[in-house]
Amino acid sequence: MARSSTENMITLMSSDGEEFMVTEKVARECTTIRNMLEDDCVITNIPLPNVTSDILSMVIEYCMEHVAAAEKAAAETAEKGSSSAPAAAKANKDLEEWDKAFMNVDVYTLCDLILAANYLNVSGLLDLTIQTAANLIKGKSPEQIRKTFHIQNDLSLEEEEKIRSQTPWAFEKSE
Amino acid sequence: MENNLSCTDMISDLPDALVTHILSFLSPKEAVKTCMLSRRWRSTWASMPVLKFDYEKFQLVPKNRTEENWVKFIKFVGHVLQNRERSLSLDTFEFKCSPSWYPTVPFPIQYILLALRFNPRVFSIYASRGDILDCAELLFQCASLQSISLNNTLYRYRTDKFFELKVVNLPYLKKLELSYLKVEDNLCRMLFQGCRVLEELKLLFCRLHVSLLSSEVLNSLVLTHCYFEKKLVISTRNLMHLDVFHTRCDGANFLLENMASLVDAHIRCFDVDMHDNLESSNCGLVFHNSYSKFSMTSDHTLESAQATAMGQEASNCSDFKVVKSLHLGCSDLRNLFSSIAFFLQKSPNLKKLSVELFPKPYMCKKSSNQEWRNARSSYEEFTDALLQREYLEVVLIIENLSTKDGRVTKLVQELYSLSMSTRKIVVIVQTKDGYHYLC
Repeated sequence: MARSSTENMITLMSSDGEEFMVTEKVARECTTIRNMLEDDCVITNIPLPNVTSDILSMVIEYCMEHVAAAEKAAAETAEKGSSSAPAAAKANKDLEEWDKAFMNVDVYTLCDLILAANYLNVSGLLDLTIQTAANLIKGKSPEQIRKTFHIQNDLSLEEEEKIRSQTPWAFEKSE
Repeated sequence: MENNLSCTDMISDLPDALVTHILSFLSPKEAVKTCMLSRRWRSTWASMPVLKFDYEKFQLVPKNRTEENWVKFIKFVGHVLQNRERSLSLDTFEFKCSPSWYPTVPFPIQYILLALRFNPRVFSIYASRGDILDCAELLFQCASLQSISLNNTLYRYRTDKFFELKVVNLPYLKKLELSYLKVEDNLCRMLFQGCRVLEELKLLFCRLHVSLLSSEVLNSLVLTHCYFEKKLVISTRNLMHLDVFHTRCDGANFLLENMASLVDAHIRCFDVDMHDNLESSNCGLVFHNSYSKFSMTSDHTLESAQATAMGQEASNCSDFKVVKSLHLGCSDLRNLFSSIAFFLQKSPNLKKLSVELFPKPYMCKKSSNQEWRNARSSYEEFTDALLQREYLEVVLIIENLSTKDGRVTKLVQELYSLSMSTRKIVVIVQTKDGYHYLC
C-alpha cells in the first residue's frame, strides 16, 4: 500500500520483443499481472509471449483510459464530498463513447483483443470485445455472418440438410 | 463463394469458452442458429453457459402475444434444454414471460427441472401463471444456486394463498428476490435457516404476514411496494443498506432492531393508498435501537399529539452513529420537517440527506402557503438541526410529483438561500425523470 509520489513503473514485453513502460496502477488492471505482482512484488519486467506489440499497445491504451476515468471520478468525490450525479453520469457516458470508438476495429483485431483480454484477464475489455463480436452476429443471416468473420462453410449440402431435419425447431419462425 | 486466402477465420479458432461466451450475449434463438455456419459451429451453442429466454424478444413482431407464438416459444425452450450438452453446468438460467400475458397453456414444469439439473448458479424466472410456483420446492433445494429471482408477475395482491416450502437447502445462496407472493413467518424462518450466507433480500409487491425478520448475515434489505399485514420487527445486526419504498401498512408498524451496521437508510412510506380506505390509521415507522425507542410517522394523518409524543421519546434515544445517508419522505410539510429535524439531531455523521414530498391526499384542501405557515416552527427546527450537522454536505430534494407542487418550489427556494448564506451545504434537485441540477 505504498503511496509514493513516484509511482512504480513496470515493463511489459510483447511477443515480438517490444517493451512498454506503464505505471503499476495501469498494469494492475490486468488481473493476470496483478496476481504476478502480488506473488512477487519486486518483479518489474514481465514478458507476455501471447500478445503482439500492436495488440498490447491497444490493451494498455484501454487500461490507461479506464484508470484515468476512475481517478478523475475519485478526485471529484474527494473534492465535493460526494460525487454529483449529473457529473458522474456524464463521465460514464464519455467513457462509453470512448469504448465505442475504441471498438471501431476490424474483426481480426477484435479477435486478437478478445484473446489478449482473456489471457491478461481484463474483465472490462473482455466484456466489451465479446459484446462487440455478439453485435456483429446479431440480426444476420448465416451467410452474412460467414462473410463478416470470413468463416468457411465446410458443411456439405447433405450435412446442412441433416442439421435442418435433426433440429427443425432451431429454424422455426415465430411471428 | 469468396475464398480469399489472406482472410483467416479467427473467430472459429477462438477457444470454445470464448465462442460460447460470445453466444451468451445473443438471444438463445440467434445463438442456436449459428449451428449452420460451419462444422465448428454445429453444436457449439449446446455449451452456452448463459440461457436467457424472453418471450417478448422471441416474438418477431413486438407485442404479438398470440397463443400460437407462446406454444412455439415454450417448445423452443424445451428443445434447447433437451439438446444442451449434459456434462456442462449452466451459469445463468432466465425465463421471462411478458407481464400481463396469461397463456392458457402452462409453462411445463419439467423444463425448469431440466434447467435445475444443470446446476445453475443464477436462476431467475418471471412467470405470469401461478402454477410456476410448483417448481419452487425443487428450486429451493438446488444447492448450486447463488442467486434466485422468483417473480409471479400476474397475481399481484390477488394472491391469497401463502407461498410455502417444505425444505430450503441453499448453502451458497447470496441473493434472493421474490415478488408478488404472500409470505408468512414460517417461510421467513425457513429461508434464513436454509440460506446461511444470504446477503441480499429483495421483496417486491409482497404481502407480508410476518412478525419477525431476523438474520445475522443479511447485508442489504429492500422492501418495495410491499404490504405489511401485521407489525413487523426487522432485526438484522449486519444490515448496511435498508430500502423501504412505497410500502403500505394499514396501521401495522414496523420496527427496526439491532441496526448497528446500518449505513444507508432509504425509507419512503405511503400509509394510505388513494384507492383504499382514506380514513385508515397512520403508518408508524418505528426505530428501535438497543435501549430506547422513538417513532417517526411519515404520513399526513399525523396529529399534533403524536408529534409531541415523538419529541418526548426522542430525548432518551441513542444515536445512529453510522448512518451517513438518509432519505425521508412525507406528504405533510410539518411532519416532514419535524421528523427530519429529529433524525438530524440523532445522526452525527450524516453526509447526505434526501427529502421527498408525496402528493397531498385530496381530502387536504389547505393551500401551500397556509401549509407553509403551519409548518414554520418545525421548519426552523429543521434548519437549526441542518446547520448543526458538521459533516452534512448534500441535501437532495426529490421532485417527483406529477403536478407542479408549490410546496416543493418554496422548499427549494428556502433551502437555496440557506445554502448560499452558509456555503456549507449543497442543495441538489432531482426531477421526475431522474435529472439532477444544482439550484
